[in-house]
Amino acid sequence: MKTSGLSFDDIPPLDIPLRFHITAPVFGLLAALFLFWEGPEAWMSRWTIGSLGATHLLTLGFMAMVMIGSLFQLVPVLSGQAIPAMRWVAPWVHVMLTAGVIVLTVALVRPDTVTFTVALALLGFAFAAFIPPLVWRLVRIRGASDAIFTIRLAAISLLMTVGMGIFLSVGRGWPDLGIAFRSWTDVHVLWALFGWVPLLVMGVSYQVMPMFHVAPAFDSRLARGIPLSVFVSLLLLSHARSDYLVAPIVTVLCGALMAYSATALRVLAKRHRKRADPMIGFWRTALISLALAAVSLWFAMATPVRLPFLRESGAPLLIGILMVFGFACSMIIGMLQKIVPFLIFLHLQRRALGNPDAMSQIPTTNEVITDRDAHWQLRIHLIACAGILAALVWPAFARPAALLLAADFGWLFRNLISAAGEYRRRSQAIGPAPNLMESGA
Amino acid sequence: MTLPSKPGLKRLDAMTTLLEFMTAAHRRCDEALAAAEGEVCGKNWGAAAQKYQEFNAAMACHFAQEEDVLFPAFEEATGMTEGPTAVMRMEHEQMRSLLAQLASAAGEQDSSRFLGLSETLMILIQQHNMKEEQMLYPMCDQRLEEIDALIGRIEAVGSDSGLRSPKPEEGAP
Repeated sequence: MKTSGLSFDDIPPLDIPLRFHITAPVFGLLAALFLFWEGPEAWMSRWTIGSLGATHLLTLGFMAMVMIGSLFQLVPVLSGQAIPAMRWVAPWVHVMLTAGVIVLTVALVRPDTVTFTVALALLGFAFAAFIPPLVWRLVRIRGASDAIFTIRLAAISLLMTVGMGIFLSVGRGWPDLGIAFRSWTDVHVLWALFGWVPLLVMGVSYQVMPMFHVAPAFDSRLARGIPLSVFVSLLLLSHARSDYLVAPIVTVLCGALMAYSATALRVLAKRHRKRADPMIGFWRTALISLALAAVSLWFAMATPVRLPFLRESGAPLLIGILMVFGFACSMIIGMLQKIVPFLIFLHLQRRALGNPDAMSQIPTTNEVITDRDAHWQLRIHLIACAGILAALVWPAFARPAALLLAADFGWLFRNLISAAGEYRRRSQAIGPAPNLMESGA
Repeated sequence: MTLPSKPGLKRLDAMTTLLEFMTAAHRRCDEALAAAEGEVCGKNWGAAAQKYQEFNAAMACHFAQEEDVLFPAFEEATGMTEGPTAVMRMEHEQMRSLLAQLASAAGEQDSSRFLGLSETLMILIQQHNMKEEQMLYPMCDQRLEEIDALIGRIEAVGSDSGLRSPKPEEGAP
């Protein structure tokens, strides 16, 4: 193992992750605005402009934005290697991703070759600047804990998702090529929603649940068997064309996802840390949504049974809402309430070390975003989840549901902005940074 | 102190790695923090003070084991004195600062201050532990000679598993 040049202290400057984290809820708000604008129309099928636009505002504008920002923070810390030219690259990735999501939304609303080309170029840059260094570090990281094993599978799924996404955009932007984008969309969606997203969450949970909640470790056979089953079923599903094959593969996929949900809920229930923590509520919401999504996917793909209360076109929307909003957004919104205050604490404390007067200026994480505000976030989020599911059943509820979504992301934006304000105030009180441990400083 | 055979530590197995040994110590500190938090949540201040003391002693012992034995051994073997160990020492200082504030919050029976500080400390500890468990300990297992003897020297510094033994004061370094 190479040890020279290994620094455990490449914590990136605070503005790098924070610019991604604060931009993300703005895209959540845009998605809400978009759904409000489109009204009940958006909920008719997954192919409506409203649903395509809102999906990508949420998955790329919100989810990918936070994930990329967090990985800029995490990768150097965990791998002990700085991302080359991070200070220069990260702001560009941020700008390109922001612009790319906006242009892609415009392109989905009014498809034309030029707009799709611009969107592809912008998003292509954002992902290309980011994925190769991430993959390179994942390959080189020593050891193979269950978490790393699973995150590697997640990274391959991300590559499949992005690759298929590019292929589909080319298909829509250049209709003359005759790409059957509807059937390929299923493959794109499967790798995104049932590969990348749950595999990443699984890998992270193996590490995070035992450590932060003082819970028992996941059984190692399950911890590897489940993600492997998910990954292999997705590989098979990408090629299976006959119903006889699809049904058993989907059964394995859904069974694995439900097994994960049940295992993780059990691990969480056995935690030794019993303090009231809103993150537990976000975890449970996410895990229950995952289980419901898996059941719905199984009914939709492996049986001829139609889901109750829903239109024919409703099942894919239900699955998408449960996975994107119920599962992924719950995790992300919950974690942001922890990550951002901690990063602010970390940067302030390093600046104040060795200066007893300044130490009294450092807030705890709960003073940056209070437990009360985080609990409110959970309540608003649960109401928004319920509202969106209601809109699926009663289209007349579409606009109120969009407003609930806006309240959810609006509250998140408020919490993050006030956290950043707290940082500014405290850092003025502390004064300039005395130590040079921060990378690049 | 002779080579150990503490219950629950798997040290009877001669193949124990430093990673396993030190990770178990991390988990015991986590448990101790969770126990103290639990008492503070229930406002059982007498028990909370006791649990906090146990946690504090476990942390102090673990810091001493690393700073007095493990880090010097790593620095000697690799010649890196300004590398990972310097950062780990700095993070220990960050944690000591929070531990001192926690002690005063426990003394003042200020539960919201205590829980705010303990949450912050928990995140700080875990991101520190991840670096040690993912990078530093595996590197030690790979680069250092005679891990068994090293573990023996680490244990000689003191035992944080005083948490479980009948004489808790033994845990203090």
